[in-house]
Amino acid sequence: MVDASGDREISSRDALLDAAIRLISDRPPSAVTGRELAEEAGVNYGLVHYYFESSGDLVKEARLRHGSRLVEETMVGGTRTIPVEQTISDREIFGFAANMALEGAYDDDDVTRPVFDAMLRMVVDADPGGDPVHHRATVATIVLLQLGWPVFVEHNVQGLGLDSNADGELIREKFFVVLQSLYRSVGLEVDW
Amino acid sequence: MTDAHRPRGAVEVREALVAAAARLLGDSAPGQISGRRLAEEAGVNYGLIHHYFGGKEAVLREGFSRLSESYAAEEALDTAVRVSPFSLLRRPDFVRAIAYASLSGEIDRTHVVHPTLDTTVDWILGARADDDETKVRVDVGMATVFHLARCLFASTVDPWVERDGEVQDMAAQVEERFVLILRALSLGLDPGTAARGEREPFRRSSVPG
Repeated sequence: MVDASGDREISSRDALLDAAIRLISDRPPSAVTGRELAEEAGVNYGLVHYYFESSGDLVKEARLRHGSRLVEETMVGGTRTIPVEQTISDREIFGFAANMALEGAYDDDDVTRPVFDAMLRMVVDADPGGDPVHHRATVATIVLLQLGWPVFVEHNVQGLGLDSNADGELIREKFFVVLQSLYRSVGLEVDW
Repeated sequence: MTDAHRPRGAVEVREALVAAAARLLGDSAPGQISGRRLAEEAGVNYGLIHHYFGGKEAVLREGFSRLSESYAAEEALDTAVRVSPFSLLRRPDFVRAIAYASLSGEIDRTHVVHPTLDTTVDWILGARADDDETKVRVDVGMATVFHLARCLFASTVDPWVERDGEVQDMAAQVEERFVLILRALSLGLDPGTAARGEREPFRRSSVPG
């Protein structure tokens, strides 16, 4: 596998990380085997151990790549927020984050949170001189809702005796109205 | 588990299996829990699952109910001296079980009951008697999404919130905003206003409740 720059080493490594992101979007990191990873990436199994010392190392690198891809690609270098429709439908966003969180993959000393940081920069630009507590609480709440809604909405619909079909439109509409209110409170418009 | 301590008799065996299911559900998707694993965790013979429950599905459903009921019982005790409305932070096992079952698309199969949702709806319906009941349920659902997400992603969000060195007590202040936002979502008020730190008055309906 060779990328545009022709650098075979870097691209096989990134192919493995991208494969890890896809697989972890569907199941927890511990349920992903090295063989599956190599097959998904289309690279030789031996390369998994060549590039990554341990599964912990691989998971950590996948997390870093996931964050930087979201900022660079989805947020276009931190110039737009994460589109709401995409957070609802794209398991590579919410599924990955949830499966990682379930296995404690964020519980370490590394507090790098590229998506949170990029959003906070946008908020500060849109609302200069605003209250830093308001800014931070709003960014955190928006990210929590955009990640949590697709994970938990079905549980709540059932637990509350609502009907996905009959009430689905009302539920989605509420979600949009809530996000719009939060985004507007810091001077941003929602990117649907 | 030595043979001397193996659960015996219907009551002990059923209890051991349900307790085992409740533990295992916090660590994997329901579909990933085999009958053998369940029996091993409970320290009972595999055949007893079928004998007492007819199959592992029923054990898992009861395991889920166990998680949910024990949380509801704690909630009831807690309401008098409530410290944080994010009460599920104390029950990561229940949050994880919901998340695993949701992510694997098995929420239907496990039939999750969440008794505290009903209690919350009843309480808010009393206060918002002039509102449409479906609308109230949708609002409570939105607030619950926030509650569950706040708990599932605590280790993702909290270190970032605490990192700001310029504002004193940033973490505590953000937590207060989270509480205001949760209140606003539950009552159908404006979350952006709550994020600004304003506690919007809630106009209780004329019906006492």
